[in-house]
Amino acid sequence: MKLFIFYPFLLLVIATACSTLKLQQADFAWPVESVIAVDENGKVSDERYSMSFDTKSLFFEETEDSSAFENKRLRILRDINGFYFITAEMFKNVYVFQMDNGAMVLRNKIFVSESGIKDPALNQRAPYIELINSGESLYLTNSGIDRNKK
Amino acid sequence: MKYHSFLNKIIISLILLVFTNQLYAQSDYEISQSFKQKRKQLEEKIHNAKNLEELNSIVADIDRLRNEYVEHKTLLDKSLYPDNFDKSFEKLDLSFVIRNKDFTTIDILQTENLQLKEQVALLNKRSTELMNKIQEFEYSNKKDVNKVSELEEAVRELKRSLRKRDELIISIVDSLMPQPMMGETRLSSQERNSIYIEAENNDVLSNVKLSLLDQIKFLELTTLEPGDLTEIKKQKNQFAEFWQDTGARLVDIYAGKNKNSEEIKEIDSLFSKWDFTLAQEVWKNIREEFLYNKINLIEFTNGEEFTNVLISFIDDAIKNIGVKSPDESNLTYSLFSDSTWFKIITPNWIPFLIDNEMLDISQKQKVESKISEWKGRLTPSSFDWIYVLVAILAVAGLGYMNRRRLFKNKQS
Repeated sequence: MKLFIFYPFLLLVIATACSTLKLQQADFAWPVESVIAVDENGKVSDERYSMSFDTKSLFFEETEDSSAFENKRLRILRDINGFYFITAEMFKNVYVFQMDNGAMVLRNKIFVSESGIKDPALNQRAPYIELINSGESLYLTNSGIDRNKK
Repeated sequence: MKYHSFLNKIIISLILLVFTNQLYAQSDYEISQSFKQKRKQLEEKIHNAKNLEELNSIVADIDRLRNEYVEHKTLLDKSLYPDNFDKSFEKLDLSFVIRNKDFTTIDILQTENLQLKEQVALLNKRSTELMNKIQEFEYSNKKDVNKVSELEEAVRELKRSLRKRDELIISIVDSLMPQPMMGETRLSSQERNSIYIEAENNDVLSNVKLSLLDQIKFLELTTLEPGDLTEIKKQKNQFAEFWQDTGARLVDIYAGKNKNSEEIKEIDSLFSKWDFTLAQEVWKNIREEFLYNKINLIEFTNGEEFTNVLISFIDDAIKNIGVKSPDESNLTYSLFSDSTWFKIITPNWIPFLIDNEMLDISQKQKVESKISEWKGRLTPSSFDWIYVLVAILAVAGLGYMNRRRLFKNKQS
């Protein structure tokens, strides 16, 4: 019975040990999108942000053809929360990725146009990402298009 | 009716709003890229400006670019990393100032160049006059003391004049190369053309060629001391160094111009000729030193031949010891060894020859050991005469003492 007296202390110790340190008010936003040509092996690499990854799975997801990357340029922009927004000319979707243990993990696939995005451009409009499709603006978050934002 | 008109206005306004919204939806990336591209074009324009006037016209373009993009300053400050909007214009201004300085320097150099060109023309004329004067003196009576001193003065002046002209030619070529291009940077075809035109206007190749020809003629005309030759050798090395460095760039500039390519080849061969003539002048002068003391040697053109000729002469002299009279043999030895080798050649010429790798220590030692051998062969015969003289004196002395003893005996 006397042991019950120590339970609150034990729980407190466990709770303290499990709490994660957070550095908040972080801003991961890139000022301008990176427009990167996909190389012959299907890879892109960005010098300024020192990042590179394989795009074959992305093209397969979009076109069901993993070799569709030839002569393509990806447009990548990171939002304030650290999500990567990726699209390309004539893509139907904007893909939202997050970094996870040495990989880009898909968090959302935002459908934009059945006929494909023409002259796409991504602009940083924190907390949104502005997608320009044929001169028309759409405001995106990692969860989708915000139709209320004009 | 009023209601319909109002509705129409609203619809038109909405259409316009959507249209203008679409019109102004611009990519930040495109703005940033277009700014970078325009900035690069201006940098190139500054770099390629042909004159001060053209350069000054770019100031307005820089201002235009600033005004055009000032509304995107916040975006550009972030996207031009590691630069920013203001830093980009600071860099453009700096490029402008540097290029402006180039033109100011080029302007000064062009003025200096004109003066140098005039000076070279004057020195060319003066050198020709002096060479003719020296040639005249060489044919006239060398025993005339006044003429000799006049000749010496003319040679000194000619030497100074040739050195000054070499320096001027180097200055002219240096002034043709804009300072930032003096290093390893490769010249653009436009820069090469402009230097080519300037080099042609200044007769650079002709002047280099004339300078080398005059230096060779000067060596052939005059009899120089080792000190003079050391100075000329130094001057030659400096000029050759210049030709290897800046001259090589001129070769690049003149590449493809057939006539000039031939001239450049000719200049290269003149450098070799100058080198050869200088060496021959040394050996010729050394031979003349021996000849002055009536030692007539076979011609030699290098250190090995020189050593062999001297050894062969000494061998002949040793062979002739019994054949020629002792006086004659001793005189030859004395003229060769005492009056020429040890008095003139060893102190004046040997250091020059060794310093310029025209002779090595072992060759000098070989000659000197041969001279010792020669001396050794001459000495015993001299000693014979001394022995004979001592013997005569001894016999005479003994005879005189015997006669005195006999005289004393007769008296007693």
